[in-house]
Amino acid sequence: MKKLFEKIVSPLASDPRAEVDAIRRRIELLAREREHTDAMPLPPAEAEDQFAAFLDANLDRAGLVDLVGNFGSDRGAHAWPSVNAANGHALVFGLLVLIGRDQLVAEYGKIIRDAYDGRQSASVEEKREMLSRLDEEADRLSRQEEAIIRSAETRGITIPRRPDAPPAVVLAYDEALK
Amino acid sequence: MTQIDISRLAQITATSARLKAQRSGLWDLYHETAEELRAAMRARSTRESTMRFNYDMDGISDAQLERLDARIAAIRTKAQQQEADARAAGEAFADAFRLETACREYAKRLGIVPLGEDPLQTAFGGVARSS
Repeated sequence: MKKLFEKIVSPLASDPRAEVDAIRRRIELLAREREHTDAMPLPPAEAEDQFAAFLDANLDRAGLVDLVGNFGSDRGAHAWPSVNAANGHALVFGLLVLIGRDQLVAEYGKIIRDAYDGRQSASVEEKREMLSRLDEEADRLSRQEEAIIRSAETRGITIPRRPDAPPAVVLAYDEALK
Repeated sequence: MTQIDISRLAQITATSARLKAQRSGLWDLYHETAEELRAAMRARSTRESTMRFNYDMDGISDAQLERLDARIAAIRTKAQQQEADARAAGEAFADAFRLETACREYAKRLGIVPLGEDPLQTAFGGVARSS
């Protein structure tokens, strides 16, 4: 009876093509989840902080604090002609920021909160952890897939590899797949 | 330490070469059939012209013309199938080649020049380990 069961069920249960297909479907789902996670926005407060830091960094880069502070003085008069086309953008941007940095940040925060409207967000650290977990799972599945393909090859069954299969897995020694 | 089995790369390269040859073979078959189809269509056109010249077109069912039509239809079906097979083989080759390229680049990043690209590499005897 056991032998009969094995004769009927085993070929179905160990059909390498079906196993590989199932793994590939899971890898595809993981890839989609990864894309979604990667596109996840920062929490509003963190995004607002980053925006403020971005504004400040551009202010520093343009050296506008000194420039505007010294306007009218002898030092300022020497500084203005040194503003060239390359930092012209930064200059205009910097002037805007000087006029209302805090107001800009507040407006940006409001826009973000409205745009998110309950959307899932993740901090940089959270996102890194989530992506790393997904990558590990994808790697584990890829190794499983490659092991099945190799095992099938020894039985004379050829299963084409995915064109986007990770080379590190495809070129790995058999022992590394266990 | 990253270790790779260079014999795997040789296997991937061989698979891609086999699929390339298969693709070429299938396109050759298709071109032969396409030529056969053009010849059959020329034969039909000649037959039809002859019939028109002899004024025996109206109301007369020409057995030879019907045979030629049937032959053209059969060849066309065959050509369509062969074209589909050749395209599928082309896609299979493209996939295999993409994987082969990625594997070669990966091996190069690890500092291993795959066999066939550097004669000195034969010293590794087909298997190389890299750290």
